[in-house]
Amino acid sequence: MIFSSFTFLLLFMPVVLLGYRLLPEKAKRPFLLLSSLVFYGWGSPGWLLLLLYIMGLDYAGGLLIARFGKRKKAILAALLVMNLLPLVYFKYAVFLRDTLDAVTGWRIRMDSPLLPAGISFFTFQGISYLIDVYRGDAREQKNFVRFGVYLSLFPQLVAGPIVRYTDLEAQLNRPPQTDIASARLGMRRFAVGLGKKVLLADAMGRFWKLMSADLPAAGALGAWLGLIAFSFQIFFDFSGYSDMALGLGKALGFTFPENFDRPYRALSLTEFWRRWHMSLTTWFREYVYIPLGGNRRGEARRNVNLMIVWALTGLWHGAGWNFILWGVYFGVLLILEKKYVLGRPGFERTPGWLRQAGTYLMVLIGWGFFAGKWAVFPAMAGMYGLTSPRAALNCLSYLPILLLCAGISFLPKLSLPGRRFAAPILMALCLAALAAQGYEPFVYFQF
Amino acid sequence: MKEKRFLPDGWAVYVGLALLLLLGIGAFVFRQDFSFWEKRYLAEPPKNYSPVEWTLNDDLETYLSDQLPFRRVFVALDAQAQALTGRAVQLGAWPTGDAIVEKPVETDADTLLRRVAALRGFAGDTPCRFLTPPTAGMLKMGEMTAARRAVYELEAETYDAVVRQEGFIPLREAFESSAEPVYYRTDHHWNFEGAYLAYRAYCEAAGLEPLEKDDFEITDCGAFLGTTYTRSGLPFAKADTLICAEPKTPVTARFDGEAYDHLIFPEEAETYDGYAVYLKGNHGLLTVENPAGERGTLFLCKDSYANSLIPFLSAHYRRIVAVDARYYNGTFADALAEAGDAEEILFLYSMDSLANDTAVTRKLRAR
Repeated sequence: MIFSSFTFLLLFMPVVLLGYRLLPEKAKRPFLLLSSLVFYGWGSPGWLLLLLYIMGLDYAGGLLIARFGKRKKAILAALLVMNLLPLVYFKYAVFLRDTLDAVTGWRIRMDSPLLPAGISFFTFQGISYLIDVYRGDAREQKNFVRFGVYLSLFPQLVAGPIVRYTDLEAQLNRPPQTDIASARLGMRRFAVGLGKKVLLADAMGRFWKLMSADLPAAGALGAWLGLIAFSFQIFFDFSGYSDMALGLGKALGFTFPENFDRPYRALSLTEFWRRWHMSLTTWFREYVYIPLGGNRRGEARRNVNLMIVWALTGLWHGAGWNFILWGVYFGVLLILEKKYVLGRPGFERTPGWLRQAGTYLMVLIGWGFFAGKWAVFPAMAGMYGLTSPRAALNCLSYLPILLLCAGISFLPKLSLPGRRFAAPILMALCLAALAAQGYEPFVYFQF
Repeated sequence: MKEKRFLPDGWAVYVGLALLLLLGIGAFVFRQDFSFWEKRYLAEPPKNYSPVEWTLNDDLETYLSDQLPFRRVFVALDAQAQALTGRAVQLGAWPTGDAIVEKPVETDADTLLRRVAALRGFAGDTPCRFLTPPTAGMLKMGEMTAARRAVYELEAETYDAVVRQEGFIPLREAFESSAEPVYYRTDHHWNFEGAYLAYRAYCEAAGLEPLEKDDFEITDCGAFLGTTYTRSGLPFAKADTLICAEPKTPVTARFDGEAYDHLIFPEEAETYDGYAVYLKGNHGLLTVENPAGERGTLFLCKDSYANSLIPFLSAHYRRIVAVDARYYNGTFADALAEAGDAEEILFLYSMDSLANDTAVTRKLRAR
């Protein structure tokens, strides 16, 4: 089920939030677990087996690690393999097959499995729990319902943020909380997130689709504006989803870690990655970069570690060379930035707006790799001319909404009057947009 | 002093959730089978599912989307928001002056000329003519912004390249110089005036003496909101009036196994497709007979634009056999054989049909 669907907005969400509010305390957590399973199984009931497998495996794994302290390393290793196997099969098997075929000339026969929604997210959450218990950062969870709620909590189940167990441990072990003030704040944030997704991201997605479908016709103007629109699409789609997740979590009495902090206002790439998909960056830092040695073993080793982390980050986003290239691109740029840019007097003297623009430009080029539409680069370079009349009309039509996205992304946050009415107005506009346009899957579900 | 509020903030959230749930329940309680303004049947409640072939999620979503209470209001709100933010391009039809105009046809002259050549090849030695009206957008370029005009200018260039071919009956100039609107404000078809001007142009090309409007029986069939209004989703539009003509001499129309002594069906104005007042809509094969006609048989390959023209033409032909590829099961050759002794052929297609109606090329290929 996706948030921007009528099934969720008109049936699932009201029933679950009202039910959660009205049920006695003892019944709240089991109800939440059941709701989360319905939410996940709604798209394809078969995938529930996979979620239940990871849930059972990691629940039992946590108990085993705590019980057999001396052999916990071997147990953890085995559990990590068993966690990662479904991910590798469902997400990367076809990529590995195609790569092997291309390198060796073989013709490996294998069906392409459908990718279960959110597999990367809940697999990483399960792994974070096991490692936290292994390290002694968290106590094993003996209550299966509480553990089930942690792993499958529907607001963040399929598109994050990736909630580490230590973030939720205390919240899970206390009685459920459903105060009205949290519900109000939560639903307001949900409405903002839904608006970002339905009113901004989807519009930007349509414009990018129009431009990228015929880049020679789009020309330089269409390619630049199209790729900028794609950068807004991916930001508003994902940060909108995170807002919805955080808002729903809040309404249910949970506080999840923030996932975005106005990333296009970053003044350097290092800062950008502190503001973009923060839960993933934190996950890789905690569970890959630091265990590899981080920056404690000299500059050369740090650079190798960074490249490993960024290649994996790219691969996490999708099984394709364009994603790996995208990750490596940022790895290289971040290494260069740390060595030659950050802290240098020339950089410090550069006006903020110029640093912001330069950072955004680098990120924008990265989105070109991410999109995998290689023709966008020659088009942006003007090799197909300026534009065509039809593309120019589309550019002009989408310009107001593009400027609105740019304003929200680049400018300081404004405090507008009448914010109390923002949520119902946004909800009405989103329902209107959904009624008129049907619904569109979230871009980030494929990860 | 404490601020007075209509509802305490927190409870408003739960009231809001209850309203959302009511909308969801309303979709089942106030179910409708047919959407009059969309001109289509709506989804039925999902039933009979197995976990293996699971489509309940998609089907329920479609159902809720179709059956959403106040859906017309929501769609109108979105259409208005799109138009206000400059994205009327999304609507598929653009408000232009007092009318709602279709988007330009996406095609090129080469494609159209290939289709014309195929039609000409089908006609063989039988004298044939082509009638393709300019689009409403071409005629309203003066009311558009420069950017929109540029796109319609491209469409007009393509149109001109095609209609300057031999056998095409020129219409653009007559339409542009008309003092009266030639298209409906809310529909993509030409109106009474447009059809009459096309009739006069045809008569001139075919060597016929055109009749005056007064020589026909004129009927006012009432108000009409057409396809461009529906497509745009916009809430407000001034309705058109369906003015229809038919010969004063007795005529017989035959289609779908029935015979009628009239060509206009005013009762259709009350249905979801008001344009069906002309000949009761589209039919695969239609024959109109007028024993008083001065010419023999006209074989007419057509789309829906012809429906309002046929009543004018029927004043001159003893028999018109009209085939609409979209609804006819046989090939054009079958239809021509049915026409028997066709002495003239008229291909009447809008630019959109000429470019995109694959049924036409399919029926030709099957000859």
